[in-house]
Amino acid sequence: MIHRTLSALAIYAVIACAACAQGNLHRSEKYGFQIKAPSNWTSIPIASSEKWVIAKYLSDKDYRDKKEGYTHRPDMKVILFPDAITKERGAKVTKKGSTIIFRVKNPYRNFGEYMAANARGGNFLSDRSERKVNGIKVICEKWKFEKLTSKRTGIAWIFEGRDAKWAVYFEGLDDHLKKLEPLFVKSLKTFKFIQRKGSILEGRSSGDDGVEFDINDKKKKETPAQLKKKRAEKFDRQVRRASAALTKGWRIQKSKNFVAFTHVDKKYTKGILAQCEAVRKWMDKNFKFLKKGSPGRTIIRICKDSAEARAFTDTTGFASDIEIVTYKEVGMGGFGSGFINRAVVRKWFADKDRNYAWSIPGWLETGLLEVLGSADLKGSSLRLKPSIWEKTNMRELARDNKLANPRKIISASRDEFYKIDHAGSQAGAFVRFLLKGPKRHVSGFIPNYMKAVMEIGAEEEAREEAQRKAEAKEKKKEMSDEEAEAAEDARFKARSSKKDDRLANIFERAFGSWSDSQWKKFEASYKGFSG
Amino acid sequence: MFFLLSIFLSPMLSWAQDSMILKDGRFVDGVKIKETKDGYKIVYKNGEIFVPAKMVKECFIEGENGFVPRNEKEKAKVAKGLVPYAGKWMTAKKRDSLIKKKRLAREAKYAEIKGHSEWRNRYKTKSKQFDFEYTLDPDLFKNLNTLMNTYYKVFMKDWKISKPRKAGALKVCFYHDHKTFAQVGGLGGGVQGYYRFVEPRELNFYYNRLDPEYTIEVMFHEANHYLTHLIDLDFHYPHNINEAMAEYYGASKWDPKKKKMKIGGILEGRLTEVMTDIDSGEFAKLEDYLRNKLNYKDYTWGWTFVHFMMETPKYAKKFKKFFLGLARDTDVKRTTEGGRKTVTGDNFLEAFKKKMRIKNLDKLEKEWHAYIQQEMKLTSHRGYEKAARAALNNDRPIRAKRFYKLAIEKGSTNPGVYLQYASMLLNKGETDEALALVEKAIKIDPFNSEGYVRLARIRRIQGDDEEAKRLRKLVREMDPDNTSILFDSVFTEDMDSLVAPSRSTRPLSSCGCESH
Repeated sequence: MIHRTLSALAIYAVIACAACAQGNLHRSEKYGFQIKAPSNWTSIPIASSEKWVIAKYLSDKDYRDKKEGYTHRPDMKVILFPDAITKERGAKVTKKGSTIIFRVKNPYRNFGEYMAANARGGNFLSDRSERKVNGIKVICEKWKFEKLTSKRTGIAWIFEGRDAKWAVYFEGLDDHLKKLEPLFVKSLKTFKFIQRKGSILEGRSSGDDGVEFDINDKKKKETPAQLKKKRAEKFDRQVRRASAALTKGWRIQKSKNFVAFTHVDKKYTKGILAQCEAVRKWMDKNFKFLKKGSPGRTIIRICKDSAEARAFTDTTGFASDIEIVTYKEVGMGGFGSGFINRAVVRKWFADKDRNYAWSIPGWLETGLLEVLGSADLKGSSLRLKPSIWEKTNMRELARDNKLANPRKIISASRDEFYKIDHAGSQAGAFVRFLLKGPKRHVSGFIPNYMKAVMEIGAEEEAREEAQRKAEAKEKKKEMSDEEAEAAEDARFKARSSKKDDRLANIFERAFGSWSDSQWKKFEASYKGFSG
Repeated sequence: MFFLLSIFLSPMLSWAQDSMILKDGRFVDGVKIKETKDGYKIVYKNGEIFVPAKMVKECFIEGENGFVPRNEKEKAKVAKGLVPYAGKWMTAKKRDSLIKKKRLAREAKYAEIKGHSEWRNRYKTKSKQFDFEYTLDPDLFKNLNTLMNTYYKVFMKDWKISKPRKAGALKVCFYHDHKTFAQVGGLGGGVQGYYRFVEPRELNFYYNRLDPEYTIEVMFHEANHYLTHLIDLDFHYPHNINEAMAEYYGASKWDPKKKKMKIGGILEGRLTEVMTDIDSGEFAKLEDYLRNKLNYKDYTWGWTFVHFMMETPKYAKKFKKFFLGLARDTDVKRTTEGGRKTVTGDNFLEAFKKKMRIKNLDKLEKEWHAYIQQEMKLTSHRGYEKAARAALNNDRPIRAKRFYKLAIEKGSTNPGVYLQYASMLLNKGETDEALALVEKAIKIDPFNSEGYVRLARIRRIQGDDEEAKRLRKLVREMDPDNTSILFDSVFTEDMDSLVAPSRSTRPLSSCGCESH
């Protein structure tokens, strides 16, 4: 089940794999039940952040919607509703000294609420009845999916236990229901309770979903080292949870900065890990001027195909900021590869320092994601090459004389930037130029610009603080209602104009010393490069 | 019609069967209800709340006490084993049988009305142009049905459009609340309604009980997409004009006395957004609008432009012709996107200039901006409600206060508005004024738990900690999901209020603490 050469982490996965599937009999001693999934269906691991779904199986066959051509692969989910949790309402509060940990959660009271929040496509309960199966009281529900989706039917049997309800849910296209429903029902009839060897409440909270407040507001800001430690601990917890939920055929494979949970061959996984490492290395090298913070490790989930990836992410608890999910596709460097690259870049910025992620201007973020999104691996390094869309768009823009001037791209607010024709491609081409263009024109361009962004941001923050103090003083002055509102209006206008000033100030700080002829040469160089 | 039982009822029935249907479509059950002179009291463990009779559509109350004879004659009857019921003396057995019969009838009626709020039990009504399916109270639906059919006739006549034969009757799905709309309709988030423009074509929207006028605006907006689609079923109007025109028609008002549809009203919420942009020195560019570059602002700035065109006599006729021509004229360059004909931004701009005979866009842009500032004004409480909220969101509390005052003076009945205003005043230490507003909000909607959250804050500020604590517990009982009260409880260290009540469901269904 698990690769022999793996570390203690992998061994833990073997021990902790509480649910065992033999001949597609899913037997969970931890949750005290067993059910026989349809034969040849594949068991899907559960995301480390999941709190409701306790088992999941995916059909081996795609079914096609006859009218719209949409393909759907039926699946089975077991969703657990412990009474102790469904009765819990509102937020949960824990107090530790002056620190209060608030977990704002509104758990589902029943399967209907779960469906309302999680089902994709317009759906409604179309039928409900009651029966007994293997001595257990069961509520049988039929859910119809009719609006803004392919017509499907969900069949849920909710088994009532002494302290919880187990909802087993199947879904299939209406076009094939005649054939699928007997298969679903056959499986549903095999549900039984077994001796439980654990608590059904275990793992319901990862401990990472709370918000901490300090009622005395004296909480010290965490140092980068503390943050790094906290993040590493959180990562280890997530890896442990993901390991425990691995199913048959899945392995763990690691590289320096990434842990892959993989359902594909070793070679392909190695390639993905190498690609992630290459993107990260590239970011470390090209953005080394961003000094603060350091990126953490990341989980990569590699599914065997798109249907499995869809089934894996299609749960309540899946969090895209915890795991990057991809799947094996024919040939590397395609759509999936671009997705991984972009996800690694986003995570890199977020981990380094949230201020970087928040401050990076629209054109630079979009451009960078375009450039790295189309990059592929050559040896152990990234090869930057424009995508076919970027090439086509740029060719058309050049033909129609619609190429945006670099100064326009740099000075545009987010709103204005997206008004530029094929903004993504133009930003991509421009950032590509800044990275690969003639050194005499582009050297130091991005570092200088980002330095200006951060400096202006810090100065603004200081100015705003001073202004807040001045405003508080001004508010204490005796004024008529009209005078007070006029003063307030003036403050609002000043704040609004600052947004425009900010871009102008960044531009001035970064390129104030540039002469017109310097800009002309730069622009000509860009035109030549992108043309 | 009310189904009320007198005090002559036997004590055998439990209050758990008390229930109430509000006129705005909400249901109340699982709590004890008492009748009073002007309405009803809902009895919670931590206090009672008063519901005025005018809010109630139907109320079902089970009996509470046995009969207590008040004079000798009554004592003699009781001694013979008789009990009074419905003005007659009868045996207890007969009375219980009659009560049971009535109770079963009431329960069936309540279940039937409540049952229709589930989509599988929806109502279905057909008219010539529309096939309606709805979970809304039929009394509320009646008016919307009339409006939809009138709107259809007016638009088709006004634009001289005839419905293509293949179009058939349009399915219109109407939900009683946003939650049901999002789940059954399949579109949540900020979406208020939608028109599905491919087969099977249909409209979907919901009833907003806090702002019924907004419901009609959304209905007219979405219906306008359908009506303009009838111009040519193969043509798709680009986003800029499609949304702006739908907004323009969304503000239509029906005058039932004059039997006339007034087109071209002011969408005060949209106008507020435009005015906030203007205050911050931001004006939309006409060329950006015409080249389909404004995205969301097609609903705000785009709407003002269409309003300007349609309401300015020198442009109106040509603009309507231009609009129809986008789908029909042979000299308009159309492209195919997603299998449908449409017009790109550049071609739209070109067609506009040509058909409207406009050479200088700058001049027209100035006229448009002047039109907004001079001709478009806020006038109603709804407009001031939205303007107050926008001012508050933009950290302009003085302006917000002025607009809140105006909204209330002009007759706002939205409890959310009173509570937002009260919170603002509370933050400034104006407790007495805030209290009056909170009390008014509770009077308007006694089931809005946020009202009691604010009241608890005020009582705490006033030093009445016991009452504040009781109110916090009442909120937890009424609305266990209310998180504001939890924050309050934590910060006052009243951890008792954090203990969840024994019930796991709240008594009010189809309700939220929505506020705009």
